[in-house]
Parts: sequence; C-alpha cells; structure tokens
Amino acid sequence: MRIFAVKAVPNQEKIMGPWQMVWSRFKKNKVALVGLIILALLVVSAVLAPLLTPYEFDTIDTLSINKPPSLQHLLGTDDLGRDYFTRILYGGRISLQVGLFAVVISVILGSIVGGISGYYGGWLDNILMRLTEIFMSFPFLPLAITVSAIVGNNLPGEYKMYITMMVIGFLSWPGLARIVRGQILSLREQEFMQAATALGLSDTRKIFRHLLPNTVGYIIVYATVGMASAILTESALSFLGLGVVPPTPTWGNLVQFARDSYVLQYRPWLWIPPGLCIFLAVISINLIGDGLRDAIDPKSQR
Amino acid sequence: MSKLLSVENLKTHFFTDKGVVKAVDGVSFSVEPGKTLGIVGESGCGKSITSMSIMRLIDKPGRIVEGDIFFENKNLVNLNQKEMRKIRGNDISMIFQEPMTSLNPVFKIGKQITEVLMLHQRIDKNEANKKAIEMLELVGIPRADQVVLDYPHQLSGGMRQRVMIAMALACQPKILIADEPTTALDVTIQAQILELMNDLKKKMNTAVILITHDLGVIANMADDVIVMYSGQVVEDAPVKELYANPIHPYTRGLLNSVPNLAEDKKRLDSVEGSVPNPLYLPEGCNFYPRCKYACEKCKTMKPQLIEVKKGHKVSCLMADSFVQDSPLRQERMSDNA
Amino acid sequence: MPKQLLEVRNLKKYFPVKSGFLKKTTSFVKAVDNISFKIDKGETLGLVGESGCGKTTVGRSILRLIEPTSGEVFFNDESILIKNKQAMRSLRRDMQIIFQDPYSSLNPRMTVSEIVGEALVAHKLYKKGKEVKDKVAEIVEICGLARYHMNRYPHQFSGGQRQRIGIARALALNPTFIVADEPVSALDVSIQSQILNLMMDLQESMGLGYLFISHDLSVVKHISHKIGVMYLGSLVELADKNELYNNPIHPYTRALLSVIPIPDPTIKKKSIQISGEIPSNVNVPKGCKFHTRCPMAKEICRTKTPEFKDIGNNHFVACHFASQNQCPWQQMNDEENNKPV
Repeated sequence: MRIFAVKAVPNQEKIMGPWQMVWSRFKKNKVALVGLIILALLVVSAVLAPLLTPYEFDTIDTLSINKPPSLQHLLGTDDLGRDYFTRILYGGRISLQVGLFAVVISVILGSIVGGISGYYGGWLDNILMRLTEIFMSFPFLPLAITVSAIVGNNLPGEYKMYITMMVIGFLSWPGLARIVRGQILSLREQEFMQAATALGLSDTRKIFRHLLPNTVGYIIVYATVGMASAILTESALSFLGLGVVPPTPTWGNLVQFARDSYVLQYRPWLWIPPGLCIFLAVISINLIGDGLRDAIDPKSQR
Repeated sequence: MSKLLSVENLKTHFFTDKGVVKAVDGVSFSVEPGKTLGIVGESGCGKSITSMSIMRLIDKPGRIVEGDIFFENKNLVNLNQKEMRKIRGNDISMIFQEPMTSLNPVFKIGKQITEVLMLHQRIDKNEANKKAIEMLELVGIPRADQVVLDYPHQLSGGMRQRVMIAMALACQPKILIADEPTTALDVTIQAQILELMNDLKKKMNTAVILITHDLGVIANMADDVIVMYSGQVVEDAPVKELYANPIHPYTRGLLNSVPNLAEDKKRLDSVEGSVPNPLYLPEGCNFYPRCKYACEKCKTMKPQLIEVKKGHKVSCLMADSFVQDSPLRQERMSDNA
Repeated sequence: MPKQLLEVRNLKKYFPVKSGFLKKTTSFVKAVDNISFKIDKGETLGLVGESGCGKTTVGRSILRLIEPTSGEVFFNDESILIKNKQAMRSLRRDMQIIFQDPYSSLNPRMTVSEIVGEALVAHKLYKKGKEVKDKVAEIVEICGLARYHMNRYPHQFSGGQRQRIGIARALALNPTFIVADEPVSALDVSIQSQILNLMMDLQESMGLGYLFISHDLSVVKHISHKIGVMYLGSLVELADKNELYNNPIHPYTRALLSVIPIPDPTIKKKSIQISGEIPSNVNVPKGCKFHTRCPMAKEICRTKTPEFKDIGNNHFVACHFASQNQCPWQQMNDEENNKPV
C-alpha cells in the first residue's frame, strides 16, 4: 500500500466542543450580552440582598411611614414604614425564584411528556398529544387565576408562593412538550440513531446518550423564554392578589400600590422601581433567549 | 470564432464573520456561440458561484470585487438590477440541480412558463400559452397541453427538469447555464435529459455552460472544459485534449480517481487530503498541500494560468516539466499518427 | 474454499399504505419483493439500482433495522430473523453498517473517541477507560485519521473524514460483515477513491464481507466481486462482476450499463435509451415489472412474472427471453459490433 506523506495545512481552527461554539457565537451578539449583564445584576442583587441593605423586609416601623426617598431609605418607605428598597431586593428573590421553579416544573413535565410521545409514538403519542392540546386550548391567564383562587383560598400566606410556582409550572408545559416531541421525532430518523441500533446499544443508552443531549439546546431556549413569561404571570397574579401575598414581597404585589390613584400620581417611587424591575428582568431574559436560539441553531437565522 | 461571453479575472468574495472567503478568485474563460463549456470541480471549488456571478445573483455577504463579464459588448458587472433583469431569462438563462425547489409549487406549470415569455417577449396570453405548449413538446413532454395545467408536484423529477429546460429555453437565450442539471436524477433519466440538451443545443444554437462534478458527463457533453480548484481555474482545454493530456496534477488525480466502466483498475489513484478551508488558503499554490509533485517554490509562489500549448492553459508552476515527459501524451500521439 | 457468510432467502418487505379515517391498510408498497442472494466470507456483493428500487431497504432489513415482512436471513448459518432482542444485540457485533450521509450519521454532540468507543463500552469488551482509548486510537489510525482527531467533534471534519469516522465506528466491534449503503455517493470524486481504497484495504486485511449498495455502476464494478441489479424491489440479474459487465442479459441491465457516461471523450458508445420513468412501487406492473419500459416486451411479459433462474455460470436473470440466444437484444448488439465506428 502506498502511503503519501501527509502534508498538513497549518490548521488555525481551534478545537471547540458544541457548547463552546454556542458560547462563542453568543458572545458576538452584543444585545444578548447586555441582557445577560442586566439579568446578572438583578440576580446578584437579589441573592446578596441581606448584604446590600441594613433592614429586614418585614420590619414595620410605624414612626416612618410613607417617607419619600432619602439617604436613609433609598426608595422611601411604604404605608407600614417598611424600607422599600429592601422590599424590592427581597421581592426580586421571590419573583426570580417563582419564575425559575415554575420553569423547572414545566421543563421536567414537558420533556418527559414530549420525550415519551416522540420516542414511543403510536397510541401513547396520540393520547399524550390530545391531552397537550386540551391544556393548550384553555386561555392561560383566566385559568391560572381560577386555579390559584380555588387552591390558594384556604392556605396561609407564606405557602401562596409555592402554589403560584406550581400553578404556573403545571399550566405551561404543553408548549415545550410539543417542541421536544418534534425534535425527538426528527432525531429518531437521523442515521446516527440507526447506527446506534446497529451497534446493539440499549434503549436507555440511545435515549440518554443520543436523543436527549441533542434536544438540550432547544429546551434551554424554551426555558429562558418560559422564565420570562413565568415572571410576568407571577406579577400579574400577585398584582391581582391571587399570587404571592404581602407581607412576602414580590415585584408583582409591590406594583399593586399603583392601584391607588394618589400613589400613582404623587409617589412614583413606589411603583416605578418594581415595574422597572419586572420590565428589565423580562426583557433581559428574552434577549438572552433570542441570543441563545441564534447561537444554538445558526441556521434558524433569517 | 467570436466570443459570446467572456469572463475576465472575476473575483467574487464573501465577507463572513470569520473572514473573507475568496469563493471565486481570478477566474477567466470564454464561451463561444453554439458550444458547450464544461466547468468541473469538487464541491466548494467556486463553480456554482461563478455561474451565479454571471447572472449577478450574488447576495450579501458576497460581492463581485473585481473583474469583467463581457456579453454582447456589455459588461454585466456594471449593469444595474433593472438592466440585468432584461438579460436574465431572456439572453442568459439557468437551470438548477434541484428541479423541485426551482419551480414554484403553487403555480401551474403553464403559468410559470408564460410568465417568463410575457415578461420578456411582449406577447399576449394566448400566444404565450401556445408557445408554452410548443416548448413543452419540444423538450419531449407527452400530453403537453394537459401538463400546462398541472402543478409541479404532479410531475416526476425527470419531467420537472424537462419543464425547467423548457422554461429556460422559452425565450431562446443565447446562453444556457446548467448547474448540475442531472445530479439529482437517476442514470436512465440523466441519459434522457443529456440527450435532450444536446439536441436542443444543436437546434437552437445555444451556448451552454455545464457545471458538474461528473467527469463522465463532461466527456460526453462538453467542447471545452475548465477545471476549477479552490476558486481558481487550474486547467482550461478542449475536451479531447484535456482527457488525453491532462497536465495539472489535480486534473490528473481527478481523472485517475474515478472508476471507469471501460477499463479495469486494481486500485484507484486518489488525491490525498481534502480541499483546503477557504478561509485559510495556503500561501502559494492552492493545491500544493495535496500535490505529489509540489516543490519549494509551490509553497510560496502563486501560479498563473498560462498557455502551454495551443488552446491548453494550465495554472501550475511545474507545468513545463509535465508537458515534456507526459508518457500518456506520447502514447496517444502515436495512436493518432 | 470460501465459506458462506450470509444468505438471504425470499426476503420481502411490504410497507402498508394507510388511508381513510380509520387508517385502514388499503395497499402495500412492495419495497423489497422476494429477493435471494448469498455472500461469501471476504466477498463483496454490489447491489445497484435506481432510486426507489429498494436497495437500501434490503440492507436495513438484513440488519433488522427494519423488520422484514417475510423471508429468511442466515448469518454464519444461523437464522437471524427469529432471534429475540437480546440475542440480536450481541449478534450485531458481527454485522455493521456504513451510511451514505456523513452528516446525519454522526451524533453532533459526541467526540470521535466517544462515537467510535461507545460500542466497546456498551458491549463491555474493555473494562478500563485506557484500554478503550487505545483500541479507539488503533481503529482511528487504521481508518486514516490521526490520534489528535479523537477529541474533536464531527462538525470539525470534512465529508470524507466524517465517512472515515463512520467506518471506524463500524469497525470497532470487529465485524465480519458490513452493509455499506451508498458510502461514497455524497463525497467528491477525489475523496471517493480514498474511501473506496480504504474499504478494499480493510477487506483484504480483515477478511470483511460487504454488501455494497450504490446507484453508481462504475463504483460498484470497481469494488464488487458479484453484482446484483435491482428494479422495483426485485433482483433482475445477479452474476459475477465480469460476467455481468461482459455479458449482460436483462434488458434493464443492458440499458443501465449503456447510459453510464464514460469519462473519455474518444469513446462514443451507443446508449440504449429506455423511455419513461420508473413506475411507482404501489402499483407495480403485472407480469414482468420492467415490461412498461422494456423495448422488447412481448405479450408474455405483460401476464407472466419471469422466474429468477440460473442460466449457467452462476448467472441469474429474471427475463422470459434470457435463455434464448437469439433475443432481439443480442441481434442488435451484434449488428453494432460489426459496424465500424
């Protein structure tokens, strides 16, 4: 056998794994990076809340109620004399947590339902998909309001947070289930899956080593966007008094002050900051989601 | 013979995030009326981009950065889009590899052909309809008067390619660019389409630019051939000359690496390695990393396309030595004598 | 004496066509319709045919990537279609597949060493990670890749290199039989020959048997020992390579051979054009499946299915006129040969 000398062209291309590639593409998207920075700031300030403020979020100080912003109280105090800046920091904790856990619940449910549906197909797929469609055909917000009103009615206030998480989580999985199912269906037909069968690999190995890793990208994109909408939903529910209730602060129930026309007109520091926080959180997460989508699947770019 | 189209030092570059891709980098060739020019090369060699450049169909991030394309005293590179539209489909038309995606699925076959006709030829609908049926009959479609009422998906791949040809030839263009016209088709259908193209070429005296990777198709169809590698022309010769006396090591490697029904080879020659990344082209000759005969100067000097004998141009620094001692050439020469 | 590696008997694969509200099976796509052949150890059987002729389905049915409808497949004299899932899984170590598409056939999220080494781990052939790594490195180098390629991902390779990875994956378990499904069709010509050479070298050194599926007769002729020609799910002709190319009997084979463009402009051969297109394999023509396109079809061809029989020299043909020397084709051919070109 003749062997030619291998004259390698100097290879300037760096070796990158799929995730490194995603990151390097994501980095180039300046808008998404701004989103990432904003979200990081919000998260850090929520996590480090006890270090950033000397007050407790629920210490009532009757001597200083309804104070405007000052050096002592950066954003003033509310009608019970609680430091408002502190309440916004802690409110961020709750809002972000609710958003995160709601998404975790919906991702777990959605991946399992979608995965089973896509991999096994047949009648099981039929049943699960009809179920998903039923869930999808309810208008989301009215349903969430009704469910949290019924379930949360007889519960003490501090549990309401968990109820809100679960209501949002259990109601928002169908979209993901359909995405995962579609992915698995198309992946199943790829030749590397046939190769896996031909190599004699077991079903579990095929699912966990071949199918799932290839859907992770889409799940992550869905999860980020889902988190933004979960935060919005939580705010809406809390604003209506059906989500998390005071004294536990969330951005949503803090905006409630705006319902009072006096506050709306003369004490803008009570409703603009939490509203702004919701706005920033949602927009930054959506920007990250968009950036991730383009980075994970460059072909989808227009 | 006079030249119908002449491409001179064409450079089409793509400005991507990662750098400049010199997809077509200094390509020159010419096409004579009624002749077929074959462009051969492997994927990514720039053969399709060359044809898209002629049609001025290059989109961002690509751009023709240099060069001229002369067609009937006009330089296509300088025309605006409106002037170009008059030429496309009328004087120069194109058929593509994938006959499914190049026909619009929501329009009837007849409408797609009459549209082109009415746009370029100022004839009314009835006339256009008649002409469309005539064209379909010309390309050998049975029941042409009914097929005009069909949608593309109702036809098979071979039939669709015939429709594409009918559409492309409807305005009796002077040049037909065929980009891998038979690659997606089965061999028996390929034979039908190739024969049809040859017939029509003779009938209508259309010049054809045939782009393909299939050396067999080129051998049967082309009058002249250019071989492209990494955005450049490495060899340009009449077809018989090229197959009898290939000079460039790449051309020779290519010819020796295809299994041939007519002869038995124990082992195929192959061009080792793979096509260089267009972002990081070698400094000297683009082919030197894969070339068996590469020497020091190939690594640093860019070869030029020069005429080594009449009508036979090669872009290789070592071309002279290959012309001298090509045993194959000696053999064929004595055969012909 | 060469020993038989694989035997396929009367293999059939019908895909049901369902229609209507209740998804009733109304008809069948006869993708593979009664196919039989044998492959010896270290031998290559080439399977050619145009798109939709069922050649890919044959390959996948043999490996039970698709469950055949009926028929028998013997591998080393064991009937494999009756094996259960567990037994099949261990049998898969001996029979592997190489795919056409070098892109979709490799998992984009796994490195080369994971792709090639996965089966070694799954079948518990090696215990230590280091042993697996060494074995993978060995196979990768046999397939013409470098050791430093092992930690790279598929997207960092060219089409030809990816095909080498696919071959390495198939070789990892040390199989004796490989189904190669159009392994070079997606590759450029200069790369094609590299892969063909690699496959032939591997056959020589490891004694592999190949079922080489392709639409390209030149490629098949180069690599195969025996060749089978398929049309609409059935074999129409099967013979040793040289016998088939020098003495093709079936009109379809003849037409197919005549329309292949030869890369030599000085050879102008008369191509036998067959008109029309392949009928859909839902409504397969009655009688001889080729009669709708066959220029010499007679009455009998429309009514009676020709038998696939040996006409001597291990040359099997399915044509009513196979054994008659003076068939019209023969005459046409003779006239042509006598004409000066």
